[in-house]
Amino acid sequence: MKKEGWRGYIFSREINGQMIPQRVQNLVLRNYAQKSGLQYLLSATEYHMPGSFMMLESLYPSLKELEGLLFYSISMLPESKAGRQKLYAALAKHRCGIRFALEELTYAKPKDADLIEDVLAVRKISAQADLSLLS
Amino acid sequence: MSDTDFFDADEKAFIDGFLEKGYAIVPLQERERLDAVRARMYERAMKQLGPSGAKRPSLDAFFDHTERFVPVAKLNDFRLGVIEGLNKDALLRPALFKMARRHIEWAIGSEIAMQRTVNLSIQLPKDKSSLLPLHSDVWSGNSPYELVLWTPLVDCFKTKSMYVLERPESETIFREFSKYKEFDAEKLYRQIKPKLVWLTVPYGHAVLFTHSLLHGNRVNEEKTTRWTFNVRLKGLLTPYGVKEMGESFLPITVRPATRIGFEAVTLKK
Repeated sequence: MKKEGWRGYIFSREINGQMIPQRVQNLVLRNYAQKSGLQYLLSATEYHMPGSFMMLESLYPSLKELEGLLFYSISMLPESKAGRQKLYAALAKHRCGIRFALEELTYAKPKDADLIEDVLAVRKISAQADLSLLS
Repeated sequence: MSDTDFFDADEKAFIDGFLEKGYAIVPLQERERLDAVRARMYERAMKQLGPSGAKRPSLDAFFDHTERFVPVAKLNDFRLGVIEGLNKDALLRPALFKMARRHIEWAIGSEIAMQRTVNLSIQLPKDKSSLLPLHSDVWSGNSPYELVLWTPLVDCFKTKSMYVLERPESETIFREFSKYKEFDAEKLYRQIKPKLVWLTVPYGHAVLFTHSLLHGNRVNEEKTTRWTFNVRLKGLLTPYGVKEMGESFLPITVRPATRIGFEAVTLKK
């Protein structure tokens, strides 16, 4: 089966503590896809309920027809390690990638998960300190 | 060094000096890496500008007298073209880090995040289009835990270099900011001009400084062109400002104990 295009994936809830309008998320995806020469396919929108990844999981069966997923941000990955491993496994099974438009990061092969996991862990730990004393 | 000290004497002297001034001019190790970076830059620039064979300037003539080959009006396009090539050069960031690693680790620690893109500044003699007015990056939301590694590709001195306001004076301005909030950058510059330090940085050296210092440059009144790289580094787990982990920074040296800690934290969920 011919694999074609990158399916957009956006949120209808906060991303990393900020509410980003869906129109803005889609603009960023379209711009990134154009700049990177990717065929952008209409975005799937995740439900607003905290912790829901139902829309993401519903994309897994279609991965066999796609080149990959185009996320607005790395912060939209499943919060649990098990959830992310399930995603990485689905990607590996169908030889798909993920592009993260905001951070311009790429998951193209299983080894790329190491950097993504490091970035997520550093964000999580360093977020416990803040710079509010400066203001 | 006494047996009760944790830092070696040279490391302790560096740390004390850095705390006092907020910057250090450090010699680069493995200088051949810098020569190789400069040679790649030269080839890239020649490709962009077009001269070939006998028409090519020597490497030194090109870097010292870029104004003879790139007019001011075309400088920014030229600079952006060089930067685009630079940031595809997978050897550049590791080379900049490794050459200054000893002092970076003395100033920051051994687990480090590095800015993803390296910035390039080219300042032709008398050019008013590439100025960086007096500023502190922390005032615009950057993390005060970041340091800047400023690496010249030529000898930098007087107005061909950059200036800083050393740490005690910068902190005084920061504390008394309400006194200056109506000033523009030029008025503030004139006010503190007598206290500014112009850095003399020979090729083969770099400046490591906290961008909480007030710093900037002026019109290059010397006879030769300035070429400098700058890139930010910070402790991996220190707080991030407007330049975030992932978007602007990536981890470059993660140690096993931290990785095991990451695993423990994420396994809880």
